[in-house]
Amino acid sequence: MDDQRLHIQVRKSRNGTKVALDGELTIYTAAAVRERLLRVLENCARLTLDTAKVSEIDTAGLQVLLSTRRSCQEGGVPFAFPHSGQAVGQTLTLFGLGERLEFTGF
Amino acid sequence: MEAIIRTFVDECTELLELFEQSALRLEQNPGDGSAVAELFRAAHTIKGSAGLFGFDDVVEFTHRVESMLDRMRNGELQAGSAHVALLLSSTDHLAELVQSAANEQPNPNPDRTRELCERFEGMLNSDAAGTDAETGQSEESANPNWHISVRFGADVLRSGMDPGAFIRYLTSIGELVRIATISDEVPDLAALDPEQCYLGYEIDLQTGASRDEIENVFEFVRDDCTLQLVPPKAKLTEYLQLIEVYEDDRQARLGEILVNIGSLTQAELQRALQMQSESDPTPKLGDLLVEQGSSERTLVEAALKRQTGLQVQKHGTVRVDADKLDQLINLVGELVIASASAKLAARQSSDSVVVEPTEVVCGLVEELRENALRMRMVQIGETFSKFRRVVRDVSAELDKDIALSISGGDTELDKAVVEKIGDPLTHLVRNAIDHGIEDVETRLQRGKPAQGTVRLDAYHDSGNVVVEISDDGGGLDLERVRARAVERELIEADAHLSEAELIDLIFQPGFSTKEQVSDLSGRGVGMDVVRRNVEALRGQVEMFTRPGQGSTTRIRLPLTLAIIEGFLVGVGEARYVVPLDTVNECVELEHRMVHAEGRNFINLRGEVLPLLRLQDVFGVQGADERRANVVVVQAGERKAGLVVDHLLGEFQTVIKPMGRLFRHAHGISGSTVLGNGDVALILDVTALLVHGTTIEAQAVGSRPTQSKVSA
Repeated sequence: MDDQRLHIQVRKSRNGTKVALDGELTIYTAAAVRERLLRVLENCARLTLDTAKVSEIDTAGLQVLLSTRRSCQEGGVPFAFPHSGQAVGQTLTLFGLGERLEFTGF
Repeated sequence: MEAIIRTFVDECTELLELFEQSALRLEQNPGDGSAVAELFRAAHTIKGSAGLFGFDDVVEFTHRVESMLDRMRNGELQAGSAHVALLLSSTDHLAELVQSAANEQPNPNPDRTRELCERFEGMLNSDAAGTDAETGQSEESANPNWHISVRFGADVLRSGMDPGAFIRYLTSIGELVRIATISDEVPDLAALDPEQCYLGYEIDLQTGASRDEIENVFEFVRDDCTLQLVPPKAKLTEYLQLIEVYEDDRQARLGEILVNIGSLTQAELQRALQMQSESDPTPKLGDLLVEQGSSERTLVEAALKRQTGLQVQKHGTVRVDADKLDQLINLVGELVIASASAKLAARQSSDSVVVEPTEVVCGLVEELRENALRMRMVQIGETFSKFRRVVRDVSAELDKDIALSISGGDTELDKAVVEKIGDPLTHLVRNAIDHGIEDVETRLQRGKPAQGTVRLDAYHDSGNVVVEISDDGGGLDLERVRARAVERELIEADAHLSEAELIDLIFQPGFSTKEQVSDLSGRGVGMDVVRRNVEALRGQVEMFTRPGQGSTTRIRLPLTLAIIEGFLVGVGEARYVVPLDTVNECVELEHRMVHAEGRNFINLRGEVLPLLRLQDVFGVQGADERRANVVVVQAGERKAGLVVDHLLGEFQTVIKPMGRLFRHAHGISGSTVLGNGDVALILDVTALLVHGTTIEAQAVGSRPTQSKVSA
């Protein structure tokens, strides 16, 4: 995946690790995002995922988000999803998933 | 017709054949889920392709077929004989529609289209009514919206689709009142395959659209998802069916989801589950639902697996123009001849530097030849399978009970032979059904089982392929045959004929013993055409019969029309090739000859074999017979010794067909060019053995007595 489609920024601090995605979160970038997140989760006290700058998201991208949430739940890593951003937010709403990736069903 | 449209027609023809076979399988076994899945896929593919070309008639009609098949796929409809009959009629009509669409002509038979569509309507409605009567449950949900339950298949993303797009598209035909994403299957990041789809959705859609229109939204993913629609104010049992697709522990969760998104009220869910346990004492409904539910799951999985499997199979073959294949094989043939010359020249030079590489080349050419030939070979099983439909339809027409038994379907034949053998076989099968097998009453009277059997068999035998059609019917009435032959002035009233000769009369033109000429096969032009067709393929056809027990027709065909392994022999200056498969052994003639009954025989380790002098058969000047050799050949049960001068070794060669002038030359099946440029004739051993006896007898009679005697 070239940087044209998506830029992944990882910042570690005392509060944990923040991963910010800038670009498209689609089938073209899903694999790269997954790999990066896996590496991050190898040593992570708390994960914050910021998708505010994601311009486009499809099913593959959505699955990566859901999968991340699951990994955190199963690994006992607190998972924060503060800024979904417009593109991701709209999609989540459309599919009955809350702003925090929790199930709402409306 | 444009090439691309021709391809479309070819593909539809293949799919329709598959469709027909699957429908017949379904008739034999109504519970066969894989047959339904194949039927659906075939219809769906045809619809899709037709849609690309804008063949609306085809698309519309196929859609009806597909809809009914979809209900079957979901377990909402059971396959009965009426449904299968409708599917088979649809196959024929669809073939018509495809042809006329491809020829840019309008629907040639719109009445038929209407009639079939009405029957489809009838199927769908009557079954709905049926379930109502059965269950007697009139409990309805209060949900005014359509409920859509969709689970996308694992490969949807890989196929280039985005499930989300389809859900979004629903908003164009209605309002997504409620939606739940079923993400249970999404694994953690470590196990996640980013290109696989794990999602499903439960949706409440407020819309005035019809079921068809909603289903159409998912058109392009129909193959890759399971879709269930529950109409507004549906019976609670329909929701129950949704839930029951899952195992027990997930059922509660799904029920919860349905309530949460408002498709069901809590009370309705309780009521539905209560009904489920209530219906347990009447095992019919409860078991049926559970069975449907769990078998549906496995059905779907199996269907998906099969789809991927079939797709893999498809990718494993390549479509090739038959002409290109023929060109290639011709070239290989020329290569075989050329390499034979090269080998000969190399040997004569005795220069090892030249001989060795040439041997290598010849070895490779041999392998190439074998591979090329194999490309033209197809299994006869496909042709045999086509007869299932013929047997089914014709026996129904004649009100007889007939089963078709097939064996040796994996016997391989040259493609051209398989194509040309179809018509003769059809005639023979129809004969067996029409004249051979008796009606049920007669059979029972004769102490036979009510169901008659027609058997198709194929196997290899001494360089030939044998195709047999047999039946356990009444056999030939030889007296009637004789009477008819006399009537037709084919024989004299007082002529004495052996059984074999009587049967042979059937193959004469203008012969038929059936009183009522049925439109199927009683026209009297049948058997002689069969014989002519088979002989045009350099084959033979014979018939055997046992009165009251049945008949067998045996067709013998050469294995290939192209290249053979042969044994080269010389008679004087002339050269002949004996097909290697027919050669048993070679011996010297001297001391073994016996003269008896005006003919020459050979004593081979106590076995007495008739001799055939090739110089007599072909009128060629032979060499000194004291040093002659005998090639012992066999074809079927017939054995003889061919007397030749020189034995010249094994030899593979291309058969060049004889010109039309030589078509009636008995004993020759072709010619070939030798390495030194000479022409050799290829012997048709079977024909020689059949006719050679006559020739030999005449020759011996006309020759001055010889003084060769053996001990």
